[in-house]
Amino acid sequence: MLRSSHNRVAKRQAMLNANMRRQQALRGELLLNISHDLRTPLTSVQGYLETLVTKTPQLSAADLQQYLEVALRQSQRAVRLTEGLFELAQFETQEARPKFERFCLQELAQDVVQKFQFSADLRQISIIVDFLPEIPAVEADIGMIERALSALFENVLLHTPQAGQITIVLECEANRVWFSVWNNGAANADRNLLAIFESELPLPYHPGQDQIGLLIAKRIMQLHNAAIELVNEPQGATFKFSLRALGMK
Amino acid sequence: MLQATKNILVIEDDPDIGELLAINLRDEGYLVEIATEGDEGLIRLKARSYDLLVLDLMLPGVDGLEICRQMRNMEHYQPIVIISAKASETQRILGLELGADDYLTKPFSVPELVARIRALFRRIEAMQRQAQGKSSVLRCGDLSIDPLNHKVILAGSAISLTVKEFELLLFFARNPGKVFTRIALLDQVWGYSHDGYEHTVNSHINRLRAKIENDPGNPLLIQTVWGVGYKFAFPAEAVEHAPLFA
Repeated sequence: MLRSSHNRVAKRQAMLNANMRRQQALRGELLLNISHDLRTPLTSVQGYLETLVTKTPQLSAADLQQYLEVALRQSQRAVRLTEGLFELAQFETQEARPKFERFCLQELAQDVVQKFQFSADLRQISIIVDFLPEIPAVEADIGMIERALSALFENVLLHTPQAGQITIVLECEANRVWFSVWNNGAANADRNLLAIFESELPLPYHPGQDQIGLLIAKRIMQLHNAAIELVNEPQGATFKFSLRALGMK
Repeated sequence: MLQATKNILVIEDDPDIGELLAINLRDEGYLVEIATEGDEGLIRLKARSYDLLVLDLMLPGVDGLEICRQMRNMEHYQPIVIISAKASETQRILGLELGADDYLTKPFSVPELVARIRALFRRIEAMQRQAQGKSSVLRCGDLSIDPLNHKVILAGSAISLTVKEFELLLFFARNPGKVFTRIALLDQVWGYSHDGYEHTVNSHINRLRAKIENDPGNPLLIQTVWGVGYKFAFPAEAVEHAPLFA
């Protein structure tokens, strides 16, 4: 009997060790991907600037302008990447604890939608929001939830075709307020993207800005003991999460 | 332009960034001085007054937050724009609480910094004009707001509001019935528009409702207009302007 319980402990330990090793390997891979993704825009910036320094006298005004524009665009890309990574790293540290306060998720959703209205209009995408005044308040970190809503929205917008449609629904079910955002058109069928939501571990991925955003959203939900679900269907994709409802109207 | 030329002091230890700021701000017609160390910056600030300070936080000698603190103890109000590589929300809030008027994280876009400085000057001028005018007490039913003494009385008893809660309420009460988006409120009441900081408006509306509404879950004064924004739902014609509190 003693021996079998020893075996069980040893087996569990071996499993934990394997898990740790896997996690370390994944982190290593993540770092590699990130440095690669940073190196690409930086190489471009450096290359174009060096060209300008050595060749300016021979360059036409149009070339000059074009090289400068490339350098600027690529540096902006590097900035967005580092900002996202910095933010993600912050949410991974111990200090990242939600500061809970009571607020109305619907009002926040309305205000977040407004931030994206302009980019949606540019591509004739219509945003439909179902506002029901009787949705109860929630208790969560309002800054973090805004960040998560923005990340989900950014991603959905990116995957919605020209003149497409995005629908946001808030509903209350079983003491939780459910938020879901649905887009028609192409599904978010990217395998890596799905993996972000299916695993507990940070995953090897190719960090486009939108994916860092999704990782941030996922982490924020973990900090709130909640999860994001991604439902992919041929005609579109839905992101869903829920927060505990408060007993106030 | 009748206005006097504005003097700006830049305290920034990286000479390339200092020079970049000077070039762009001089193009806008401002006079720019650069200090590369905290101590040097403080000496200049004590010697004369500037119209605006652009301040880096990590400096050799006295650090930026300490400069901020010391400046807010000076008599003359000089607006401060912080530029810093410290991007965390805690840092930003600390800088703003210590009295900075705006906070940009490095790397930032120079045209954006210039635009924000221009907006800050506009806002300060508007505030100065406003301070000369509107000072009467606003009465909305049993709610009285005294803009000069920053006092609010609800059904006969004084209620305590933070500075921003007060300013938000005053702004609403001065514009009854008009609907404002969240970004408009941030712009009008806070005067700066930090990305990632907009939710402070939601938090302040919630706290204000908790203090002035009978049922904060069912607000009658500060209402949500779904899909648009927020409004002060008191009939404009019923707002009374009375002389100051005795």
